[in-house]
Amino acid sequence: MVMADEEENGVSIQLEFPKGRVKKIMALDKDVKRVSSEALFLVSRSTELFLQFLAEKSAQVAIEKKRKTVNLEHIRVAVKRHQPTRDFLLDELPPPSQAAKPDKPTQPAGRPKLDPAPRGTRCIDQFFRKPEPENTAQAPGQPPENPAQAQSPENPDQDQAQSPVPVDES
Amino acid sequence: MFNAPASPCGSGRGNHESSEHSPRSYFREQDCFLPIANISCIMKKMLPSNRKIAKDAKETLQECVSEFISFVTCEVSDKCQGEKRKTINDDCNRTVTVLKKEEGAFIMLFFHL
Repeated sequence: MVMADEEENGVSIQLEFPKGRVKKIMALDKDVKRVSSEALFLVSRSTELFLQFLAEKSAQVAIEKKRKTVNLEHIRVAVKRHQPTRDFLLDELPPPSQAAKPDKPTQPAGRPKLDPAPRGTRCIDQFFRKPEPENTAQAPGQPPENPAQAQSPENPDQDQAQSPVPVDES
Repeated sequence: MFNAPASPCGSGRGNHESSEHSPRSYFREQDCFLPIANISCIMKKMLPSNRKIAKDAKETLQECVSEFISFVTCEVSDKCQGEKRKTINDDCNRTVTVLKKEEGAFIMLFFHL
């Protein structure tokens, strides 16, 4: 409704994008040497409508997927559904692997490994047992360094801990 | 084809700042993208009140909008060259007619000019 009123008046339409910025983007094209104020107005206006169009379609996709937040995937789906937009925009969108990244940081935080507690205890036992003679021989200043070093080889130790499981238990 | 508009901007301005903020963009956002606040404002008008927009979605639309401007400029510029005119004017007048007639179909018709 507000849009229709503005368009009927014509003169009262207010551009929401800064003219200088739009003009600078248009000037990126080497073939363009001069841009009239009317052309600048029309490109800005059509860009606004284009953004509204994309936002509306993306919102529809988000609603279909029962999401309250419009994310990157919804925009990609909306772009794919519209052939003209798809032709010149699909290559510009980030690849799907990057789109999956926002989901990844939440998952690795929990580290879905099997039985982390018992493995942790086994690793601690192994560290205490193996380097005991070395610790006594070395200075007391080095003991705090051992846990720091122990953290990095945690993964290979866990792998080793799998095979000698019966030995640890006994 | 659309890489040409990006290269002069990349060569003319420093890429270090852009790489720090967003690795996906090839040039400074301040110069070659529209302000993300304006984009966010327009997007919110089109969304229901209970909808939110992810930050990466705003940034992606920011790039899409700049690409749209470059695309439109390139298309109209090609037509102007064909008609041996340096100023982008007459072809944009046709856009006025399209915009006034059917707002919803402006993109479809505009792309087939």
